[in-house]
Amino acid sequence: MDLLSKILVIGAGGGFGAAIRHMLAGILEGGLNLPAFAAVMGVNVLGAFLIGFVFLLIETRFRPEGNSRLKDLPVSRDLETLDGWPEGDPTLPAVDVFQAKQSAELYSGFFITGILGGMTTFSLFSLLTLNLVQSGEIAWAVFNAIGTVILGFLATQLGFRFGCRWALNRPNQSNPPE
Amino acid sequence: MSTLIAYLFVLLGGAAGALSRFGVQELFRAFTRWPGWVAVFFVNVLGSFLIGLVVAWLQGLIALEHSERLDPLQLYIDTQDADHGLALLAAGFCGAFTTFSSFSLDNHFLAKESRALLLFNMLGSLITCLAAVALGWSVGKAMAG
Repeated sequence: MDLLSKILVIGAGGGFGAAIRHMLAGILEGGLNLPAFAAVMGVNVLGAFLIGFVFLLIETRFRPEGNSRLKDLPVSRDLETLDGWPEGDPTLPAVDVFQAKQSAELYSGFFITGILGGMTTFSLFSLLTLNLVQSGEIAWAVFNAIGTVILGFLATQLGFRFGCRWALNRPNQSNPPE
Repeated sequence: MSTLIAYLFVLLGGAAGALSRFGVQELFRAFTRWPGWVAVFFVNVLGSFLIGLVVAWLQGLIALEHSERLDPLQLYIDTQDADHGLALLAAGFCGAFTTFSSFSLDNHFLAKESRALLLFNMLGSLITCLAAVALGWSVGKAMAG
């Protein structure tokens, strides 16, 4: 993808991602009466789940040359029944490999760098933790800091699991099941 | 109506923030040989500093207006402007410039690579970003006078 398309895709994704966060945090704060830090925690953990899910789908679909970073992770074992995983399909024509690479860049630029990057935030999380410290609520500050990081890690793991299930159920075009 | 405008500011700031993050990541990739998570660590620290600065500064300005001007209409306008400033710079730009999802994803790759690096990224990000936001906060307060 050329630079201009990347800028358009990431800019649009980032703008909508930030607006989605603003809306979701507003709903969690206003609708469920959660404190601001909990609302941001909720959005961040949701984003961490979604990045696991989306990343796995992009990597399993658009890495026919077998260079996915996922193949070093434990989750890769669950994907072994997937066609061409993890080493890719060496018989694929170069033009298809090129197209897959372009699609991977497009989707990861829009959804991962853009939407999810804009939706999740570390700065508001830091600010709200500082706010808890300043108002003397040390226990909540520690809970927020440790809890967000741990829950985010687990949520990404869960996203991988859901992504696996989705990827394995996807109809396989090159080798239809007999 | 003002909510809609606030969303527009968040959207614009978010687009600029995500693009700046992408720019920093590309710069790191072009000029250093560090792995990708270092760039995410860096933007999170920088963004935390900026949000502390911006929020303390703008809130300090509102407080200043409160003490000096008693005209309620003017006060309302000033607060609105500051609110839009916060929507653009804090919720929009800093919010989208930093990222938690990529941080969580990177942690999975680090967990596979080495437990020490994973702990370094998790605890290091937490401690450095909190220190950065506190530093930004005091700088912003000083700027507002």
